[in-house]
This record gives sequence, structure tokens and C-alpha cells, in this order.
Amino acid sequence: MALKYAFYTGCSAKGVAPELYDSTKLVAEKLGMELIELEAATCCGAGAVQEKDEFLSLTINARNLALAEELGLDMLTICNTCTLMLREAKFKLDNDPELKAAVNEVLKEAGLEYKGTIEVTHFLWEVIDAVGLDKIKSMVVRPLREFNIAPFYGCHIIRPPYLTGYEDPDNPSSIERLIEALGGNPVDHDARLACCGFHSFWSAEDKVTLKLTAMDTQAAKKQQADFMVTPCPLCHTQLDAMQPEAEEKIGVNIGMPVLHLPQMIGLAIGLKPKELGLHKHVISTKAIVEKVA
Amino acid sequence: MEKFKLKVFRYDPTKDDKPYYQTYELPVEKGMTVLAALFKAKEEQDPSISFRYNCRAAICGSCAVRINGHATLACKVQVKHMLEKYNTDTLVIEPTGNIKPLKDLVYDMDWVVDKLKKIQPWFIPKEEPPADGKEYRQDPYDHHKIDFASDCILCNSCMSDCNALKANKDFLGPMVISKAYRFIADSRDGAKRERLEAVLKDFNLEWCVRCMECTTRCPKEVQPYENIIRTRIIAAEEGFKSPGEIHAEIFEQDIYSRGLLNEMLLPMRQEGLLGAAKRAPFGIRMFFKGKVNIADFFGGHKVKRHDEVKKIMDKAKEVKKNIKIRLVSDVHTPYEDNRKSKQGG
Amino acid sequence: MLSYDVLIVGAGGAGLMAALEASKAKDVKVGVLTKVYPTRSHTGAAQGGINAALANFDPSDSPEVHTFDTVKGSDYLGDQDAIEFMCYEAPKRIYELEHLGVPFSRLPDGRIAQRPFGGAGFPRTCYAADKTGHVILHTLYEQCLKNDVEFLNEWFVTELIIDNNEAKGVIAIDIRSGEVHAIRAKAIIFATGGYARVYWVRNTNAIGSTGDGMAICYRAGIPLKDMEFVQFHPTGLRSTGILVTEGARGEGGYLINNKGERFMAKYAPQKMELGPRDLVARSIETEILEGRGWGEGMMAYVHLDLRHLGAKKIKERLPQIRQLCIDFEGVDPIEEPIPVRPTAHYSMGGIDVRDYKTSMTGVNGVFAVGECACVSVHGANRLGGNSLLDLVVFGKPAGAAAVEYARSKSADNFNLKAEEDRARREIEALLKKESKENINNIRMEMAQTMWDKVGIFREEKPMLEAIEKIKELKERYKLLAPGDSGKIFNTALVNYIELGYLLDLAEAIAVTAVLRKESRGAHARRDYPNRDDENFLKHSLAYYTPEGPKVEYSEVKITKYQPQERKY
Repeated sequence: MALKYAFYTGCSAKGVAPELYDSTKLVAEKLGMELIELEAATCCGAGAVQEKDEFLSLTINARNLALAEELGLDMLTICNTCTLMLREAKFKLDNDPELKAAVNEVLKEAGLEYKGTIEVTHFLWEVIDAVGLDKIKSMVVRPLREFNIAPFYGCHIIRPPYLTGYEDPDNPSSIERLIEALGGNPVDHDARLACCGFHSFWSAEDKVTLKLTAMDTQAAKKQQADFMVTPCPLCHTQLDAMQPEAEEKIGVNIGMPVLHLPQMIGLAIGLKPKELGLHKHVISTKAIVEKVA
Repeated sequence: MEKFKLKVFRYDPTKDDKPYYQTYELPVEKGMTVLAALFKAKEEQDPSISFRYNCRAAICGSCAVRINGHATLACKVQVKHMLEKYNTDTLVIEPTGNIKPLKDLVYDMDWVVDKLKKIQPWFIPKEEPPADGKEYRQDPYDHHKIDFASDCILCNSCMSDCNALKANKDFLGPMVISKAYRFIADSRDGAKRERLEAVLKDFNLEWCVRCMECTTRCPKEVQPYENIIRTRIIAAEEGFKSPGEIHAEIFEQDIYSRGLLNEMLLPMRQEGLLGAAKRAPFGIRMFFKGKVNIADFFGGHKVKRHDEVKKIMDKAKEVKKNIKIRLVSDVHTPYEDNRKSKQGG
Repeated sequence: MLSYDVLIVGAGGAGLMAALEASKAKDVKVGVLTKVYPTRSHTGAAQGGINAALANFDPSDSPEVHTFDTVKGSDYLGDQDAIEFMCYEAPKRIYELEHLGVPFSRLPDGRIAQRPFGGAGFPRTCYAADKTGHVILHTLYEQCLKNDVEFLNEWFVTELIIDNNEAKGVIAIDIRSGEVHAIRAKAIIFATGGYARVYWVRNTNAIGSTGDGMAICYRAGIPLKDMEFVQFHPTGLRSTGILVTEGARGEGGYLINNKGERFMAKYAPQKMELGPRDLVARSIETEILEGRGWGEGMMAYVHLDLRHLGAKKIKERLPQIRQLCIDFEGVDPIEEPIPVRPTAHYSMGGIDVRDYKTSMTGVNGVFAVGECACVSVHGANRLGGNSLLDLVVFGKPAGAAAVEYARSKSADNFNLKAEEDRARREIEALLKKESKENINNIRMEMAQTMWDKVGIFREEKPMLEAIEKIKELKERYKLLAPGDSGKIFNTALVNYIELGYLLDLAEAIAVTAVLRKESRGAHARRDYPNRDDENFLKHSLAYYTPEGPKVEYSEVKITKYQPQERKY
């Protein structure tokens, strides 16, 4: 069966996380997933537009969804917040005919229509459900057996359930199962389902955000994780790129590397650290690179 | 009969130096809630366990505890479901997080009530009652806007698992802001600005990390996270400028002018030149890691078919005036998608 | 020593309404004492609504029709002057609640919405979705916070102190610290709720509905009125007693016995499962008693089967009932039938109020409002939507009357300290006490006895046996110990004292029920199936004596409506 998706990159993969974009493309190809990039798609609003003008955010995302509908393909995302925002728009439009009609009145201006015929999905879910863990297992050439890996789900892929629903928000297991399929050791830690703080950065950097970033990375370190892995580039930016600020905030050196989900898969199925962009991380991934070499 | 272990947080500050856990073995009975299990342990094994309870029907809000790390009402969940959910034979029962425990599972409610008082959690009428002594009129849609928010039973499940509160106890917390929303959005209420000022003091409302724990935890249909956001929208409409509002404007402008967010210019636009200067070490770090797209400093590229976006955004502003968006009525039933990969072809 | 002019015991709808009114008087010190945080009170559980003839939905409704419906509903045992007062005050109190911020559901024109309810001639029940009691309770609490009302939260009253037929104060335990205190008060308003917990698990009420105020007043010499009248609901969940509303039967649910029969065919061949509440309750109970239920004794039940409605209809039409069954019973009605049985719901009886305008009892300075009081406006049977109304209509003037009374009294020097010291010694002795028996055994035996013998069906012989059994349990209770010697948050001690209250109340219910040799409203005697106005159109009054209740009677106030047969 051909695995074909309308690929929604989101802003981060096109901005501060180019390594996520590159590694996703490489890994998807290896796994037999065909990604048709939605080059006309816009930002999902990232919660920000939603907090200013709900109707506007719904129309923008109705357009994004309509672009995937044009292709007749489910929309694949690589960011938790994009996933949630797009699903939120879909949910609200599909459950409120009046709202859907109003949004379509707007889309008509651009000759578009939102029908509700496709689903929004995340790379993590498709790797597990469409590619399958058995296939992944069979493709592993470099098992991650000497790595203790701390999953960091990120909020918007598990909560709230009425928009996510893929697994139990209180006890998810998808990332752990994937780690095991790749031969690695998932480690349980206090911040597994916690928040990185990203979305309050501009209002509460010192009061909240960096404290959470420090708590999260320290929790992984406490369980002797070699690295954390996350399916969300926003969590990644916060936990990796802002980790030095978090260290400064608490006056403790943490040094916890954080990998994007496709980077971790890539390492196990034989892709090179360099092509996966491990050198683009702020917290050094040298120890990981040396081990897999 | 199948058995399970109820591992209970115990702490009596008049006797114990520090908390400890005590485990009670109990049968798994059909229909047994976690609250019923606590009672069974208390009645048959150890009368000294303290926990709050009253209605045992999820309306009084007394019995919120953490079960295997997540807050909920002990009366509203089945032992059997919890054991299955966590694939375990042990339920760990702890007091709510973020709030000081007083004894065993009993937490300090006064701390919460003091927080609530900061937002004046009481109705303050906008005007005198009608001359005929009858009710204030309220449009059903205006009532709808506060319908779910007034579900709140003050159980503190949301406060327990709030990530922002975990980092900073000065955050008002989802229950408190949600309560503020219940009055702010009430068309009959006259203290909207005072309440908005209270929740936006030091931008307190925007300390919220948008983690959605509160909405997920809520045993009713209060939707605290959504209420925080609704409050933010009302604040923006009322002209309150906050970092969140500036942030939202930047996103809106970028979508309008190019489609994607320009992350490179974000700090300067968000915080001005001074702020951007503060971010210099971060920027330099990102540059050397190859995470910076130089072109973006000069505006960067546009998404394809961008003309559609402008048309849509302009039109949306117009249509918006005539539409009353209904609130989602159920935020707990898990989303059941119909992805093609699940359809086997 | 803590001292108040007005002390309100209990912070549900009635207590808070009284507190709010009393707190308007700035020259009077008001305190509210409650064993739970105010918003935890059982008022919050009232879902359906609150009656008032606003005539918003149907302009032909009027307080007069509301009065008649209530008199008829009470099976003519309600006092008609008090009922008239309640029904004419009702619209004013609803508007007052609305002005305080209660978010009532609305009609398209913005007025308060109303819906039909059992026993009412017009759609008269104002509501806020399915959480009417909840929003009223929270609104009143919020307004009390606004008015700086002083709360003693998580305090538990153990005694009422009366001297020379005049209120002096109460003895109470601060549950949080474990300290025993006497509290001086000129006026004391009891608003502590109902006694349905004498049936323990077979009841819809909160765990704390242990009739505290009734037992406290009773022991202090104030009579309890009409205690034999307990309202039963046909369908409570097996494990918890939580109410499954008529909605499930309304959508086409079947009641099934262990033979697989839709047994309502025998009792109400036309209406089947949609027969009136009391008939359905008696039918289910008959099936259980004749061995056609599942389970044993207190835990026996029949099935409410929705499966034939199909997953789609259940999810669309009965989502809340389905969730209720999953959460509280662990049963998904799509896959399994719901285990249900009749369950005690409301206490018509209570502390004898002598003056409905003030809610004062026969003791000066002692007032009673809400479910713990018996005015009587509900008589032998309460109408749906009238219980919340009772709270707000009588709570308010009681608050005002207590203030007036307190103002008329100067400070006295009654030696409350001696009472405090005695009470403290007694509690300390209790904490040191040990026993082999546990609270739950006695409590369950009490509940079983009351359910089997003084429940839905009543007959002389079993009721006499019940009285003997309660006496035996009271003897065993004397040897019982709380089981926890701790000081702070000793809820075992609270549960112990509550059980003592329940035993006294159970006895009063059983004794008055034996003596009422007729069937009226919720009191259904197999040996006396008819109403007997000649001998029993009167209120029972149970007075405490160490040997058991002494029963007297008082007259029912009849003004406009002469008793007729009650038919719907």
C-alpha cells in the first residue's frame, strides 16, 4: 500500500529547526512514505492567532485543510501545536454546520471550499500505524541498545483528548514502543508528559518558562538518559536551544541533548548523524554521534 | 477475587517528620470507585486515613486526589478502569499537587480561596435591577458563553496538575482565571475591567503555558484552558496590550504578508531593539548552529498562492461580525479520527 | 471563647441564604459553621430546578395554582398557610437569586426559562441546565464572600446548649485542629440537611447527609416532626445509590427481572416503565422481595436495560446517563444492563418549626431551615423543584428573624465554659476508647433494618422488630469506639458521632411510622392501605427520651383546600 500524505511543514521546520525538515524527508523516504509538500499552506496560527481572533484562525486553517483536500490526502504534520490547531479547526467546523457555512463563505473569495474529507495526522502516529513497528524493527541496522532515551511527548499531541485522542493522555506509550522497536531503552522520568513552557516564553520567561525547561531536562538527567526525544519542534527549541538560558536561571549545568523523533529513527535505520542534522543542535550531540559511529 | 494495592500518601504533621506511603490490599469489586476503595480501607483496615468526601457523585468537588500522578475526583473513577488504564496492580493515591497537604489526602483549601478573592469571585451587577423587580434580561447566547464556566465545583483538579503553577505559585491558576472569566463574560456583570486588571497584573494570565492539563483534568465541563483564552480575547478587545497580544499581532501580520512566521525577526518585533539585544547571545548561537535563514532578515519568501490568503483574511474580518461561535460542548470524549492509514487502504 | 450574635450551622442553600440576609445587619456578628466547605454542601446535587410561578413560559400560571399543586402533592399534610407563603414568595426569591448572579437558562427573549416537572400544572421549574442547585449554592457562597461573612469551615457541632428554653450556644469540634470549643450564640439557625443516610448506601444523598442538626436539636429537647415521611426514588445505581433520572426510561429503557421479564407489564400494563415514581419504586421492590432480582439483601437490584436502543441512540440521546453509569458503576449501558434499585431520596420530616414566618422552633433563639426543618410545606410528599425553593424562601426570613431576636437579647453570663470542659473530657475519653466492633457493621445493620422494615413497604410487625433492632444497635454503639486517636482531621471521630445521630433518627422514623396507621404520600402501609383523615390528618411530633421517642401530634393548618383524594 502506498503511503502518501499532504505534508504540512509548519513554520519551525522552515525556520529555526531546518534539521527537522531534512530528517523528516530522509526518514520518510526510507520508510516508504511519500510526502507531497503543501507549499501554499500558511502558519496554523500556533495558538497565537487563536487567542486574538478565533474566527480568523478557523478560516486560515480551513484553507490549509482545503489544500490537502485538493490532493485527496490526509495531512501529515511534524509539530504538536500544528497538529492540534489544525485538528481544532477541523473539529469545530465538522461539528457546527453554521460555522462551517460561514467559513466557506470566506473561502469562496479565493475559490476554495472546506469539505471535511481528510484527517490531520502526526508523523509519530503514521510511523506506528501506517509503516508499523514490525517493519521499523526489520529496518533497524544500528540498534540503539546502548542508549537510555527519555521520551518527551509535548502537550499538544496528547491533550486535550477531544482533539488528540490517539492515546490515553495520562498514560501514552507510542514513543516508548517506537524506542523499543529501534532497540533503545525508554526511561521513565517525571517530565515525560510535562510541558516545556514554550507558549508562555514571551510573557513569563523567567517566572515560568525557563523553570519548566530546567525541570524537564533535569528530570531526564536524573534517570540517566543519554538524550531526550520529542515529536515537537517547539518543545525542541525550548528544551535544546533555550537550555543554556535554563541552566543559567538555576545555576546548574544540565547538558541534556534533545533529538527530534525522525532523527532518532534515522540513526537506527542507518542514516548518518550529519545528514540528520545532529550538528545543528545547541546542546552537543557529540556523545551520541561517537557512540553510533 | 482479584486483589489490588491501594498505596496511600500518609502525613500527619503532628506526628510525622515527613510523608510516607501505606499500602492496603483490597479486592477489585465491580462498581467500586476509588473513593469507595478509600472508604473500604478506612472502615476495615485503618480508620486513621483522612480524606475529604461528600456527595460521591462528582458535584461537591471534595475528593480530588492524584491517582497514579494525575488529579481527578476519587468518586468519579472506577478502580477497575484505573488498573486497566495504568496496566498495574497498584493505585498510588496522593493529595492534589501544587497545594500544601494538611493531613494525608487533605489539602489547604484556604490558599485557594485567598487566590480566588483576588479576582472578586462574585457577581457585581452592571446596573440596578429592572424597575418591575423582575430578572435582568440575558440573551441565550450570552448565557451560553458562561454556561460551562459556571460548572466549576472548585475541586482543584486543574490547579493540582497545572504546569505553570508547578513553576510558580504566584500564578493565579486555571480555576481562578476560569472563575474570573465566568463573571467577565457575564453580560449582566459590571466589573469586567477590574477583573481583567486583576488577571493581567504582571501579565499573570499569560504565564499560562497552554499545556491543556486543566481542561483535560477537569471532571466537569468547565474548560479552564479555553476560558483563559476567552479571557485573553476579551482583554484584547478591551484594549489591554500584553506580550501575548503583541505576539498574536505578529503572527497575524506574518500570515497576511508572507504566510509563515518570520522567526528571525520575531524577537525584535516582540520586544523592540533592547529586547532583541538581550537575545543576541541566543541569536549568535543559533547562527553558528546553522539554524538561521539569512534571507528571513530581509523578509524571506512567501508561501505559494499567497494572494488567496489576503483575500480570505480580509473577508474573514467582515464575516466574523455576523457569526456567533458556539462553545464546544464536550471536551472529554476522545477524538475518533478516520485516517486513511486506519482504513487499510 | 468564640461568640456570635447569630450562628448558622450548615452552609447549603438554606444556611447561606440566611447568612446572606443576616450579614446585611452590620451591628450583629454573624458566623457560619459547616462540617464541609460551603460549596461541598448537598444543595449542589439538586439538578432539576426550582419552582416559581413566574409565568414566563405559560402566562396562565400563578402562585395560587402553585399553592394548590403543592398542597395536593403533600397529600394534604402540608400546612396551607406556609405553603401559600412559600408559593407567593417564590417569584420574588427567584428574581433575587437572579439579581445575585445565578446563571439561569434563558428563553429567546432573555427571560428565565421554565420547564415542566412532575405534579405541576404548568411549566414552572426554573433551571440552569442540569446544575440548578450547584449554581445557586455557588452564587450564594460567592455573595457571602463578597459580604465578608465569617466561616468556620470544617467544624462539626456535637451539642446544642439550651438554658431556660433559650439558646445559649453549641459545642463543636474544629476538625482541622481537633480542638473542642463551646461557641456562644444568641440565635442559632440549623440548616444541616436531611437524614436519608439512615438507609446508608440505599440513598441518593451525600455521605454527609446524616441529619446532624435534627439529632442535636432532638437530644436538646426540640421535637422532630413527621419523621415517618421519607421520599424514595425508583432507580438508584447499585453500588452508590446515585440517582439515574427518569430520562433513561423516558427514552425507552426496559426494567427487567432475573427471569428476563419486563415486569412493569404486571403493574402498569399501559404506561409500563413510564408509570409514576412511587408505583415504579414499589414494583421494583416487589420483584426484589419476591426473589426476582439479582444479589442479596441491601445489595439486591433489577436491570434497567438500554441495550436494545443501540449504541447510536444511547450516545446521542443519553450521553450523560451513559457516562454516569461508566464512572460510578463501571457499566457501559451500550454493552450491559444497568443495575438499579429504589433508593431513599428526601426527608420530609425534620426539626419542628413553630412559626413559618421566622422558622423559629419552640425554643427561643433556635431556628431551623431547609431539609433539616419541617415547617411543613412538603407534608407527606415533596414535589420536584420545591426543595430548592424551600431553602431560599425560608432561609431569608430566618436570617432576618435571627438578627431581630439577637438584637433583643443582651449578653448573659451562662457558664458555657463548664459545658466546654465537660464536652472536651468526653471527646478525649472517646479517643482513648477501644472496641472490637467497627462503625460500618453497625451502620450497615441499621441501614438494612430500616430498608427492609421501614422502607418502601411498611407493616406493623416488621416495624416493631426494627424498633427492637435499633435499640440493640444503640446498645452496641455505646461500646463502639471511633478507631482513630489522632487529633487533626480525625474523620473517624466525625463518622462515629454521625452514626450516633443516625441511630436516634432511625428510631424516631420507625416509632412514628408504626403509630401512623394509614397510607399517605410517601408513607405506604400494607396493613393500612388507605388515607385516614379522620385519625391521621395531623403532624407527628417525636420528643427525645432516654427510653426512646415519645410521640405527640399537632394539627395541620388547612385554609383554602379541603382534603380530596390525590389522583393524577
